Amino acid sequence: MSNTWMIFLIGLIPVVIGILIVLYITKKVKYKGSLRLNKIVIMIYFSLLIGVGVVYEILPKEPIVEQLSEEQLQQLQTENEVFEAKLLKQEESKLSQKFLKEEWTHELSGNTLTLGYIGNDSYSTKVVVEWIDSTAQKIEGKVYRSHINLYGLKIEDKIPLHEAEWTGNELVIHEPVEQEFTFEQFSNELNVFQQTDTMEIRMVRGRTYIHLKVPKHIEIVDPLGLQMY
Amino acid sequence: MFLSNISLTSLVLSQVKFKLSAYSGLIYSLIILQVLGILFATGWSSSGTSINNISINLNISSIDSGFIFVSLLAISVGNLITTRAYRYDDFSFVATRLSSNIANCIVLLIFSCYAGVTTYFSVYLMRIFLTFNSTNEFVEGPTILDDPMNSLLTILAMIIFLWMFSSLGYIAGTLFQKHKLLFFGALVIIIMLLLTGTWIRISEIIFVENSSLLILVAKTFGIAILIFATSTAISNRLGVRV
Repeated sequence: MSNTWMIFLIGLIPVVIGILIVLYITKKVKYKGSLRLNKIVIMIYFSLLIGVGVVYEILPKEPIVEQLSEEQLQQLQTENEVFEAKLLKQEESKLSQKFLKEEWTHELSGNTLTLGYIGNDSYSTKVVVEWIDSTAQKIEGKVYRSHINLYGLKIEDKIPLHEAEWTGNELVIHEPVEQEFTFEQFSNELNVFQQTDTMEIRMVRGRTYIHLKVPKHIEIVDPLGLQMY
Repeated sequence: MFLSNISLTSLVLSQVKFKLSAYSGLIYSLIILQVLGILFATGWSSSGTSINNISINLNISSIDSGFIFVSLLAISVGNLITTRAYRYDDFSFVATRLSSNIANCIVLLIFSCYAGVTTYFSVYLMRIFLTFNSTNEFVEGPTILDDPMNSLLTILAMIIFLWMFSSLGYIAGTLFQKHKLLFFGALVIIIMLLLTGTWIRISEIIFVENSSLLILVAKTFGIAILIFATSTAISNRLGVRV
């Protein structure tokens, strides 16, 4: 059944109930006193709510954001930790390629490379430098981002990547433009007497990692402490 | 010696039938409180955080708000039917205190069943409204069809909790009818008990340390029965209408 028909039918329920009540009150339908009216209201109210519940359950609801279980979140967290450990050990071949977002090269004009960050949360980005034996000025860079998950919501695609921009010999990392997303969740649980929020982990706060292969003669200026050792 | 004898069961049934009709006007209070519950249900629990300059807000709408409002009504109704005006309705029958108490207990259970089921489904009105009017995205969640047993258990829990709340109102009303000082004395003793460590521990064992909702429901059911039995014992010595 299409959405339009669903809306039409749902809209029709209160109209029908309204007509019935008006008919009742204007005595077009026979009733004996207020007790009978109460009984009718009890029946109509009950039927209305059950009907609404059934309609909601069969209603196609999209788009729906998937919510991960605690075990899945724990798995993402572990993958993030393993990735970071391998990156710090510079075991590039063992790095999960699903975290790789972009790669580029840049030719420096001098012997100094400056790292900069534009945004509020520089902690969200880390730079890992791998020194290479080379006399060239070429810098190789790879941008990775580990899993991000908040409240179990699978919204990684909605969170934009940091942008790495070269301006001369300075690598500037730009934080994404401010955005706000609000999600609605319905719970059928009675939480008043139950401690339902027993999840030990509710968020996986992944980071953006920039892996740079830098010739040893290049000096790195890092005023914000973006490097990770 | 009487010309006709009537059994306790048929007497209770007649009283239940009478009381259900007589108190049917309570439906309007229930509807008003459930509407209030629906209004408060939207974003009953909200969480917010941000990462990479992106703010994420999660609004969770639950049945808790509706349940709290209806619980207040349950206490109020439990108390109301012990008042003199309502007790005098019992004199429409040749009845005993025992039959009257059992009938009240059953009537409150029937009301709790109706209130529990309707409170559970009342939030669906808000859900349908939000589904068609909210610009926010929705998070998947288990539906009744996905987990019918859990939904039935939640409805059962709501019914039993409401019944227990009505029993609290009932015993408070019974004590008040017996003697005002008795009511206030009991209230003071309960408040003092609540402040002691032992009582807090007992409350934790009953209401918090439960491995499943079913165990909590069973305990609550037992407490409600105990309260009704105590109320019956107390009210057996109430004075008669003159």
